[in-house]
Amino acid sequence: MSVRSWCIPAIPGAAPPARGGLLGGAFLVARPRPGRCRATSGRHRLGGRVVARAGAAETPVAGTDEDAAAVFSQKFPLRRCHTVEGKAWVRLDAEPDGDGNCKIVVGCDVEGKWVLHWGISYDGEQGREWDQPPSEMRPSGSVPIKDYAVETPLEILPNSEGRMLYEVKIKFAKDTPIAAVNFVLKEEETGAWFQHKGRDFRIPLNGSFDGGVSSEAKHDIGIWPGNLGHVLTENEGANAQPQKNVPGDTGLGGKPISAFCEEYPIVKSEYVQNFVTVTVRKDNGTHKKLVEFDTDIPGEVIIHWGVCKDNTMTWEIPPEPHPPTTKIFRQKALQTLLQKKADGTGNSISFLLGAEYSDLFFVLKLDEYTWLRNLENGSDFYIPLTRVEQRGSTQAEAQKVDDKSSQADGLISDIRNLVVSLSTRRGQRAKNKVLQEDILQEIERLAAEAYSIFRSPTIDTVEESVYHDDPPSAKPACSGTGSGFEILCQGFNWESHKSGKWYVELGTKAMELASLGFTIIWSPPPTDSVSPEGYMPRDLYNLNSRYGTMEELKELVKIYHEAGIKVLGDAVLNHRCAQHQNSNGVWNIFGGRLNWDDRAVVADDPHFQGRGNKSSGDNFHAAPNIDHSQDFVRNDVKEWLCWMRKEVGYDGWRLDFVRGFWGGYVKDYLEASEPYFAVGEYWDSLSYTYGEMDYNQDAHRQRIVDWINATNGTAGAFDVTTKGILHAALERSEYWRLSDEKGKPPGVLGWWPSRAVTFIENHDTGSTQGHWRFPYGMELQGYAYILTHPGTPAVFYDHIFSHLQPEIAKFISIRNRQKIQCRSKIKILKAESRIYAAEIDEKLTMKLGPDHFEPSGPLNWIVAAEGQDYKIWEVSP
Amino acid sequence: METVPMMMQHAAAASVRRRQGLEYGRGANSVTFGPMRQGGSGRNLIRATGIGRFFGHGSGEHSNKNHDVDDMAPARLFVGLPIDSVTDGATVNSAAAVAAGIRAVRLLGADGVELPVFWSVVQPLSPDRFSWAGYQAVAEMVRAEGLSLRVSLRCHGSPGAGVPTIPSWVKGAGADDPDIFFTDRSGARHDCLSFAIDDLPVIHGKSPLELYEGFFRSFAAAFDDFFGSTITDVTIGLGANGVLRYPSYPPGSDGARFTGVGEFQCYDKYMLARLRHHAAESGNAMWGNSGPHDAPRYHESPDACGFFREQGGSWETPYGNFFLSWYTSHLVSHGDRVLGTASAVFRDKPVELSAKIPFMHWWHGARSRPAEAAAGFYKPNKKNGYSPVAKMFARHGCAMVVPGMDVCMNKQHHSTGSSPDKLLVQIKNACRRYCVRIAGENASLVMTHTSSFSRMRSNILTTERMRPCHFTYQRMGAEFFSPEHFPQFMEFLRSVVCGEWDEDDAAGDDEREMALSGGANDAREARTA
Repeated sequence: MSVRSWCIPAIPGAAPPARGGLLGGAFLVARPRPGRCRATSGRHRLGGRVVARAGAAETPVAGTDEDAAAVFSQKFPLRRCHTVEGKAWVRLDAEPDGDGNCKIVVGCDVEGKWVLHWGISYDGEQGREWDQPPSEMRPSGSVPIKDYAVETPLEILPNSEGRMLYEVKIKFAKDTPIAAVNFVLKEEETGAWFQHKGRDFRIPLNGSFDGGVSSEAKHDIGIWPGNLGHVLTENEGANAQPQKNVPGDTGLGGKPISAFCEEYPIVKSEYVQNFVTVTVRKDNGTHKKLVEFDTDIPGEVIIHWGVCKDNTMTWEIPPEPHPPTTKIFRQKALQTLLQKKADGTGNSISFLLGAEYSDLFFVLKLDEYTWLRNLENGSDFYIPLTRVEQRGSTQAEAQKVDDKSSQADGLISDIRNLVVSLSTRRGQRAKNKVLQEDILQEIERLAAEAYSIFRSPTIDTVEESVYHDDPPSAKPACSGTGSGFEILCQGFNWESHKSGKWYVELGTKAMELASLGFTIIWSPPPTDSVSPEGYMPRDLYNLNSRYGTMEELKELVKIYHEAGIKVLGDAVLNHRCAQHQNSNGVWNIFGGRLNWDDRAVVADDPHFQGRGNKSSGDNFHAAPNIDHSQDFVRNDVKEWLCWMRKEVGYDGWRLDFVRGFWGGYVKDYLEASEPYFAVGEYWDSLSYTYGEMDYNQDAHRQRIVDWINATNGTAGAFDVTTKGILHAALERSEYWRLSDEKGKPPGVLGWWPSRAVTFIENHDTGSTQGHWRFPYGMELQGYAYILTHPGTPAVFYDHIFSHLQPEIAKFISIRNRQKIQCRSKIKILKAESRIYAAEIDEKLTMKLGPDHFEPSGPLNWIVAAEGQDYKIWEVSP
Repeated sequence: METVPMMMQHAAAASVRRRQGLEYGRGANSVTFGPMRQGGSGRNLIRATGIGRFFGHGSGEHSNKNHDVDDMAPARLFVGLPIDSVTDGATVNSAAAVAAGIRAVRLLGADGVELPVFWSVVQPLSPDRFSWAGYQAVAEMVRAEGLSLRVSLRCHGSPGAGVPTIPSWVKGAGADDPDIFFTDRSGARHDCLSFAIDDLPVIHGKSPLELYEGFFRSFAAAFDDFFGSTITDVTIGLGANGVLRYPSYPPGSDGARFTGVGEFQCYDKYMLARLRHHAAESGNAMWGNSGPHDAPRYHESPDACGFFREQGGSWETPYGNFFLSWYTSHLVSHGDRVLGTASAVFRDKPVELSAKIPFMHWWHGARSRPAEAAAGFYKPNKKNGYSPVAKMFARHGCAMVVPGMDVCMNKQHHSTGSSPDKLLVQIKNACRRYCVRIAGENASLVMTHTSSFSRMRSNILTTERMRPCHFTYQRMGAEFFSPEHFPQFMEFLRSVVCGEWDEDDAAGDDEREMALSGGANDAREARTA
């Protein structure tokens, strides 16, 4: 006999049964600790059903009915949760009435004993502390609560449809010094609180009348519940306490105070008493037993049940035929749908069971989440099927216990205590279980993330994917790499915002850029920003910036589209500047259309006191870093990107500071916004030893490739590695650096050229910032390299509109003439200290460095471009 | 009645469980739905607690600093970080994945992670400079998650692991004097410094022991503020790949996968000099001319040549005894020297020292135990070859890491005479005798035979006296997180973290699940109410 340590049979998991993916269902098994194991098996050892009987002894169990054939009949009480949906509303009438008073009306249409628990605050900024309202504000019947609030019952107003309405009106003078009214709704009978997203409601009064501050006031809704939190927790028996849910979320306020009226859906739930009666009769004809279930619960009711033989407590399912509408649950139990009673008062069913079964266990299932158990002991309903045997065993066991000497009583009471503590533990465990599911999901996510990074291609496999699995023809729609023949122009520098008319100015360059051969232009970050350059975005939906208005931006995009050039928007997703301070004075409350609060801010940057999760990447310390792991953030970002695609007409993105968050989120965003081209700025430091750049920069490019991989290849990345290596190679005449150990280009472009966006300068590295300027006077060597090599080259605005333009134009025209593209094949011919030479697609040969080089072979090479330390040949047609 | 023995078994473990029961209470109470202030989101709670804490198995609470054999404390659980977490000294490879892995480990309820720290990574280019930034960054991640960290200091890596085996400047010294490396009979050399030069100033004027000490000291200084709080264990690498043994596998190969007999590694000139000296002292100068002439080659069967022959092999002769005793004493004294250095360095740090021995279960069934003898584990007269090592470990208060807790008999080829069970018993016997605690690791990622998980579980949760003081599952990487492995690993780890029901109960898992999730329904009912 194997010891069953519980006598509670199967209840199917509320846990999502098919979690799929990483976790097998079996994983969800929560294993109790050994301590409990010992306790429960002890309980069993002393007579499996001592416990059950202890409970049963207090209520009639068997043979209490008049029907002689009945082996057992009992009516079990049930407690069921019943929900009532309705709405609550908050209205503010700003128009003074005859006495010069304005009023706030709070009401709801769900039956109950409603009380408004409210207070006021004078301090519009912090608003955290409540004060009692002045007596003239208090409606009649108000009761002060300590020194910070009053409670005012809602009046009952019958309305035309016969439903009860509950309302309370608070009047206040138009020129009141009060800054805000704070409240929660409370239902006295159930003790439930109705809050706004878990916080107090706050109605700003003061200052709202001058209109300008109203959007700020709106955010004060996001204040913590102040002194109410402890009231809630004092309410014991949390499990039994119904709560109101507030589905949906409509920000309170944000509208002019004069016509203020908001509605909220609310759900009130209450417990309803029901019963289930189980009767077991002997069926004389067949020696089977007839089991009847009868309940007054309306709607669908399923009994989830199983039987035991010979008091073994071994849970099994009886052989077929099963009652109609029965399903087998995981080979462990049966689920039988009860049939509606003819009189509509509930459900019932009866069926026959073989005589060999001694016990039946069941619980009632109402829906996926609602299971009803025995209120007596919190476990399953237990039905003895055989009166005689059951009594016999009772006596035997009772005798055994008696024989055990005087300790028996003590044992029994111990067991009772055990039951009590077990059921309280169950409550805890139940809570834990709910938490566990969250944790399991989190673990699952983390494992998937780690897996995606760890399995990212090593050097060798990347090479594979570079040259084989990514043919230009089989390009997925959302690869974000454009046609493969793209040449990108960075359409601004660090000073471009100064004119205030950059969009207009840039528009005038469209034809020129098109004739130079550019296919994509990267336009500056368009949003409202704390810094004029646009990289400290604030209100993402406000596209009026120092570069021009939204209308000018749309016009710019239109001009470029007419010129056949795609336009990239510069999307700053890592961080966002807040409009408002939280109660600690930290700027982490956002405004505008995306009025996030501090849950949208990562938790691991102490400067901004975020309440989100830890950052999935590096932190940018000058502004709150957005927590992209939050669903609402991601949804909002996706919506925003799609809006920009549609509204502005952007064709793709240049993504700022993507080190700051996991590439997997970028994948989400790009799949949602489906850009034609996308490139991320993953810029970190190369490896140096004692100030000298290491030859092997695989770790550096691996990090960039890791990021691209995390995006699932939906975006390319700036090839910072190549820029860094070009610096060292040109500056120090160490051209051997331009070939890695395997004879491939040493940057990202050597591993994953179709995702490498090569560049030699941008607004950060060069321009007036000059954080990492390309070696002076060697720009043309740099461009001779990137414009002849695979990858997607990007040319910096300052270089295009300078003396370098003719040469750059020549390189671009060679590239286009020879149809060099991002996946072109490259063969490095020489990489020595004073010379680097490579042949691309067998159509073009180039060399860098002072040493002499001549292409050889059967092809007829003609010089296409030549300058200081560079030379390009192409195959003559 | 069958339940009676069960009862006794429970009674035997009662004291443990009572203790855990108390912890349970505390752990459970600490998990409440926070006040509304918390925003009602489960995520916040996830951040604060892992599953282990639900069950009172809070991380870090077990760090037991006393060095007695404490059989009652549950084994602390660690998960190994990737071997190549840091390869250039300054940056963490796949940092996001490492961070995610650490977090997942915490949420699973393990106590901490294990980080292999390589000499070759922190001192890659010269004996003057250490670069700790990469490893410090990892330690910082671990600290941020509130986990314990077990650091394995490794003076020698293994080929093919993505990490250099030894610093390049040591290799450079070897170019001048290749005899500083272990050498086999045919003259092939390992990237592993010979035990015979421990005290000789042959590398840039310093002896390997001094260099090891410098490595240990630099580590202790660089991680000073991690001790006690984050770093709870330091495992000293005593030989190739962090294991106290001769590298008896073929040079250039990864010793971890070699399951042949192996060869003696005593053919560098320093070892030979010592052998000669020892032979002269023992009055048989002829015995000191070379190593055994009749030992098998790496992959040969022990019966292929005379030395390890089951019947009448040279190993049973006085010469065999002479040679093997010398060979093994050299291993033990090397371990003694390095551990002595390490324990001096870490004496005043609140960390537990441990060191790893090999788990060479293959050929353990043969009388001569040839594989173990070639790796340096031997004791004459068929005595326990692990006793001298255990005695030496005891002297330094060092726990013995046994890296084969997952090895099941049924996975092994009988032809190799494998006997993991006997070997584990033998190691435990040696440790019990000298009051050395043992700690566990798995030999390899459990990818195919999931019975290895139950083997590990029973080895960890055993109620016998030699319960491991900690167990480390090796190790994170792509395979570890793959869908083929990770779910099973999670189940394993949770079953260990949460304690386990008796084995014969496992059949009831489904029912238990249902019973428990029924409880969850109650809660949900209340919550949605």
